[in-house]
Amino acid sequence: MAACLVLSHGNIAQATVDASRQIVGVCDRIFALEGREMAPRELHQAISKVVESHECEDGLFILVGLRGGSYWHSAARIARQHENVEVISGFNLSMVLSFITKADTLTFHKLREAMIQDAMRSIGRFDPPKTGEPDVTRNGPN
Amino acid sequence: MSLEMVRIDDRLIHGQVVVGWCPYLRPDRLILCDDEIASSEWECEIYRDAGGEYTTSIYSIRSGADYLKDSESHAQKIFLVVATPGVVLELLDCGVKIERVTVGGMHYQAGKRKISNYIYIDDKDLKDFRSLASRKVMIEGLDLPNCKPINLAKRLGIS
Repeated sequence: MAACLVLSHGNIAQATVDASRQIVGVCDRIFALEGREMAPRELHQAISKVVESHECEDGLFILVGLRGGSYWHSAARIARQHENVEVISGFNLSMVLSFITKADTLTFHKLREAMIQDAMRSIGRFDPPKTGEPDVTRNGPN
Repeated sequence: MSLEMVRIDDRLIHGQVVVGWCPYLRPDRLILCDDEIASSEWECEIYRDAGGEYTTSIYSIRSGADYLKDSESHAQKIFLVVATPGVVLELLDCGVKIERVTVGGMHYQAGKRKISNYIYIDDKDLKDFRSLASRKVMIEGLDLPNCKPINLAKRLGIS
């Protein structure tokens, strides 16, 4: 089964993994690395150490928050060195939940697409009828 | 051309630069000068992507100097990012006019000593900063626009 490494500044990565455990339980294929300010080489070494210490024969997703950020840079370099490592930016809780709930049923590449789609689907504005307005979404226009 | 900012940051183009500084400076072009990166198409692609919505150009130091000198008569705002004070010296040697540098990130590595939370330097860096100061370049430390600047030349005892 594929594995997943979540990277972030501050404690967002660990907090997201912790939140996912509250929703779908413990998953031993997902782990987090929290960051402080590091030189690029130091960050690369820290991520490499985590990647090499886990079994990733079935593929590894590295999730980062910000496309173009320093974690994304380091993750991209590691993905370049490993054929079965992919980087996905803009992670959110839905993406992590998608990985946990679908990793054992989808191939690596289908899982990647599902994670991205599920993350994107979760972003949106909820626009319920205001108090006093007819609820056309529930009852129809008449 | 106006050089809105010359930033020294060993992470080059990353979140603080694109999300922190670019909306504040609103540059017409983000330029990265680095010989190693400019020699690798893959690295160039990574850094152009990192520039996001901002037009981003990657140059070797010599090519970057030529571009910056050629652009002096153009009305564009440039945000220049380099990795070390040594690169700024090389650009000066090539004839680029630089009056101020802002150090946004020189992170810990073995052999470097702490100057601030985001600035660590070794003897080579100090020598290069001293050379910049002797050429009337103002040197400040500032990682983000809304933070308190550090008079780096004074802190290093080279002002």
